[in-house]
Amino acid sequence: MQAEIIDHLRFTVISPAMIKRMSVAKLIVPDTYNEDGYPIDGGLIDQRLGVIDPGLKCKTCGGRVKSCPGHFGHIDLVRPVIHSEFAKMIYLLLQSTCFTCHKLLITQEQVQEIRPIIKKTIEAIEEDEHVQLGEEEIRELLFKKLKSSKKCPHCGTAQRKLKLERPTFFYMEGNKMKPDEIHDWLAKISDDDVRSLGMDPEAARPEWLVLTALLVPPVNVRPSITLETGERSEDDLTHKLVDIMRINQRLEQDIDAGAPQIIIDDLWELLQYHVTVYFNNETPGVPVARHRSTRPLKTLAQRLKGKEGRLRYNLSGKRVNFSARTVISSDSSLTINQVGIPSKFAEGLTVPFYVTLWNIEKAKELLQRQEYPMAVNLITKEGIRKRIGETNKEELVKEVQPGYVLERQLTDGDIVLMNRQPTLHRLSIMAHEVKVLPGRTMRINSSAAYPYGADFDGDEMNLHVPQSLEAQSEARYLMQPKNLVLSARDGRPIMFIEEDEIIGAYLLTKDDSYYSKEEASMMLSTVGIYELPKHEKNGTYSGRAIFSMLLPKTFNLDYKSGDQRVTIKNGELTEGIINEKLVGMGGGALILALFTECGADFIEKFLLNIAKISLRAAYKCGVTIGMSDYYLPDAVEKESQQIIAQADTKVHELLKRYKEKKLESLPGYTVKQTLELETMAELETARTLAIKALNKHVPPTNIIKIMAMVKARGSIHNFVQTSMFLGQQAVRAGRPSRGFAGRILPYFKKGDKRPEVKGFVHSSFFTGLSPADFYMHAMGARDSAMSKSLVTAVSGYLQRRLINALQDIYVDENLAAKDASGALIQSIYGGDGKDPMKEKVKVK
Amino acid sequence: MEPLKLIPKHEVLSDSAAKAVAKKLNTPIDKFPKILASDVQAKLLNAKPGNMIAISRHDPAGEYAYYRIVVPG
Repeated sequence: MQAEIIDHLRFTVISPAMIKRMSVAKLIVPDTYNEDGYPIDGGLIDQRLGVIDPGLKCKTCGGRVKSCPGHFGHIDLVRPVIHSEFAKMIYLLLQSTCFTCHKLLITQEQVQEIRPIIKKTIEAIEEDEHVQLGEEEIRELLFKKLKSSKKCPHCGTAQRKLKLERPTFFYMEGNKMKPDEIHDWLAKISDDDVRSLGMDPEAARPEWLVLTALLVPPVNVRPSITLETGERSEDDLTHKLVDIMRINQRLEQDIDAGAPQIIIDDLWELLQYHVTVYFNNETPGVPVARHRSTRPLKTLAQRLKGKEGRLRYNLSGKRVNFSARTVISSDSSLTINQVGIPSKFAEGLTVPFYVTLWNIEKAKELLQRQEYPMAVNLITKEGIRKRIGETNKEELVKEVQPGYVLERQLTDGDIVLMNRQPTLHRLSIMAHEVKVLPGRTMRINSSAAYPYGADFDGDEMNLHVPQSLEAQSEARYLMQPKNLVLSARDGRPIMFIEEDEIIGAYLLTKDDSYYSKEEASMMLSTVGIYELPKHEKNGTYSGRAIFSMLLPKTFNLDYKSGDQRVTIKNGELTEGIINEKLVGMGGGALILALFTECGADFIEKFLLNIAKISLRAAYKCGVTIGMSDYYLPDAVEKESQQIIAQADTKVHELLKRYKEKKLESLPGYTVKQTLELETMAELETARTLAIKALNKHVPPTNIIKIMAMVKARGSIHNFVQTSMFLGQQAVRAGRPSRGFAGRILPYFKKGDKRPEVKGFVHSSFFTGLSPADFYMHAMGARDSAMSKSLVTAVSGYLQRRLINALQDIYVDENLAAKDASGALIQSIYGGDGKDPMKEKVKVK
Repeated sequence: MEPLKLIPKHEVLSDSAAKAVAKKLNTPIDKFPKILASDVQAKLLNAKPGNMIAISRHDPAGEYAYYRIVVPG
């Protein structure tokens, strides 16, 4: 069946007549249940409004809980009240009309002038044409003109000044206007005048904006809750409606009894308050209505509004079945393509099993099973779902036949989708093969974490089980990590090995790495290789030979980058060190070459094996750091002092030149700016010198240096900061410049120009920071933390807007980029029709 | 007027050539990107509404033609 297409929707104002037509009950009793706990007739839980208690029948439609949709009732208000959300509209209407003759404050001729413009505009908008003036703007113009009229052009009455005091109080020349006066005024505006104001009298007569009757929603909208104690707790809306009815009733009694006007007015204002709050408990200028527990009541507007409102929470944010979420952890024995699923999850998630002529035996076996991989539900040909239990098992085994569908528990080899939020790009959702494991976390290979942007410090991920066969095969073909190793951005690998694995690969393939037969066999056996490579003359095995066992015998690579050269001939690593440029974040040239030559399945195994064997090499060597690694030779300390002293003198010289007015300004800068710039450059030099000194004096066996060098973790700069000196601290991309009068911190004298006064820190993390140094460092740290959080928020939002703007653009069969309407965006995608993911790119 | 040196070359296509381009790209004429007749380049080429202008773009990817339909304005 073709779904009906909604052509247009029209929102109108509900009329009192309509309220009475919709209503099945006039409510008169401001209460809910009587002493026996039975709904009071004419009360707010009147049984004509629908049923929520199982067993009872609806007095209107005769339906029970499931079949009765609920029915509206109404309250007749003794005195009209302003609908607070329409106050502004009422104000405009009052301002536009004469208070004696109730005609528009404009001549008929002027109306005739304006009306066609309005009509044309409305038509143009309906036909989606380009219009000079929007409907809104014309109305604004009209109202502006009307408001400024001082005298009625029809009866000649001078107009009185009107004032609206939010939310619902109207004054004329300082005298309060009662809602009934306003109601009568609005009622007297003619239909023609209403049309001239751009309103449709059929849809919204002005007097309907003042309430004379209040529609009461069915009980289904405001169900009461029965607590364990048997006590009933009513919905916030019911509470508010009780308030409204109570005041309404008292007002009626007082009027009938002829009470003084002041008392009646007070009650009337109270009624107005309750009705205002009933619509919106966050109406500005009105005290918030509260529950006995001081919790603010959640009235109509609050139900819809905001993140937790009906729209964003319930309609845009539907919950899904066949999904799971938990903490992730890493597992180096799973491939990038697999995911470890807690056995509890596997028991709870199901996949359809389509019964055919050829698998009916398997189906019966699944049906009969008592434990884990068993069928949970059975769906007949007619689509009736039956739960499989101990009692009906045998019966269902007899019943099952081709065409039936079983729902079986998730097992190894099933395909599932993994997702980590924020879902920024395609790779934030990938398809993994299930591996059921003990434990409570979902496990993924650490190399597959990178595209998700995940780490294992408590990150959670979502899992979805594709149900249809189409969805499953689509996931298998398009979404498996092994097929997505290359980035769609630049064609370079986005899954590679990191950190410990990188240092392991270095240790394994560096020039002097040789292993005994036992070590070699042990390392290779971890990746399932039970042969040994060719040994050296002395019976040892080179790390390169061991590494080569992971490569296909036909594979060749000649890689050059700077002074690094790596050669692989016939699957033998003959020269060079495997580092991050080959298998890591720095380009992944080897992974790229292997992917293009040997394919996805090979790369899946390769990433697993290289990680395992590299970790073995790292364990063998023992990668560990201690205080002694940060304690450097005395020569370094001496050189540190020299560098700092040198920076001091250089800065001093600059200052001298500046004072003697000998400093020449750089193009585009003042002399003062030049001084600052050159000072900063000088202090930057200190850092470079420190790095040089460190490299010179620290032995190549220093593990921190090795880690930084092979880009496993940390940088030389980190090392300098811990072992030599921190150097210049930056605030807003410059030296700290604010704080105390004439100086940054009270530790310094005014006018002191030494570098350390402006955040050049002499001490190191190893020696510890002096108080002044500590403050300087904290300033820089706070500044970078703040700008970091700002940048992520800003760029995240920018990214989101881009994604939303570009999401319906596709590449058609002629390689032209088009959008959903078929409009041409680019005659050939990217200017060359190339997909970087599938293009052989050169990695430097 | 002199063509601007930094603007890629614009060129008015003949009606038959324009039709061939539309056919090749399988795109109706009104779904092409637009250029106002009052645009400097359109004026320079004396292009009239309905004409197709081919622009040879030089991107890092290489050189390729980008097409725009002249619209009144």
